[in-house]
Amino acid sequence: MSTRPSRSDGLGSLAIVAFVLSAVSLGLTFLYAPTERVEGDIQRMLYLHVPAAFTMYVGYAVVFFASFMYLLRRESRWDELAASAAEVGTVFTSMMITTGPIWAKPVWGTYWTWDARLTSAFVLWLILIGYLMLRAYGGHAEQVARYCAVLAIIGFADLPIIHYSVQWWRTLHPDAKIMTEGSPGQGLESSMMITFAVAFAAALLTFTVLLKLRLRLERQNRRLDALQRELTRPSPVVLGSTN
Amino acid sequence: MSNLGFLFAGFTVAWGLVFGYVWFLARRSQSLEARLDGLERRQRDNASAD
Repeated sequence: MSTRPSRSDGLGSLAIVAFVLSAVSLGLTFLYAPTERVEGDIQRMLYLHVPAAFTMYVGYAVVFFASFMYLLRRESRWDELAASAAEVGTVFTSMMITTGPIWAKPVWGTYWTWDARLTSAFVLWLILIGYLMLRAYGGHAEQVARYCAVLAIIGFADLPIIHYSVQWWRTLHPDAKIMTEGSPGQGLESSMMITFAVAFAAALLTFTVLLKLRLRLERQNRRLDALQRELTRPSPVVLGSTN
Repeated sequence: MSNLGFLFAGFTVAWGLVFGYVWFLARRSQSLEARLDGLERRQRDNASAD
């Protein structure tokens, strides 16, 4: 059994494309996208904060799907995917949670307010941190995988709350008007839309690269655990042998 | 802090998180390599003892 990493999955090329696309996204954000009239330069945070939030949704959807499949099939590959997506998803959730207040301070006059959108997003971040802690300190591997899958499925209920919170309750956080072009004051103009699309593609590609990398490490780690168990297993006592 | 200061802080934090995580994965990969080397050495020792 080989535990050496396989280099044939195109991860290197994908990482280069993600890096180049992220650099292009940065260039478009600062050199191409126009300065917004009301908020000024700080509105450029849109090209960072919103793609991070959308990627968080994608990441958690992967965790949910993989957890559901694990409970259904009990195949470790789904648990490996869920564990990896949860960790990478936490990076993007942390990005969203930290860039939001930095954008909010000059616009709202405060870093944080306990409104429905911010609170529900913070709850998701806490669920992910709890999930990672359960993985790290949970005990028996099979039991941990099952508990984590259940936690991820229950936690998924927070996603629609985050998304629709700005419509269901009165919040300081604005409703997303990215896709609704046409009416004045709503949606993004074309140059902003192009910049946003590139930023979102860069974030998604970065997520994919990190997920593949993390998944590779997870699989290597589990194979090493199995190998170690095999090597440390006491050799069978041969009946009839004399001491 | 000016608007540009906040903008700079936001992008620094975001990129810092990504690069920090890549560094964390690299460290984890190194530790797996070290574990693998140890196990291979042990396997060789076991084989030569048999």
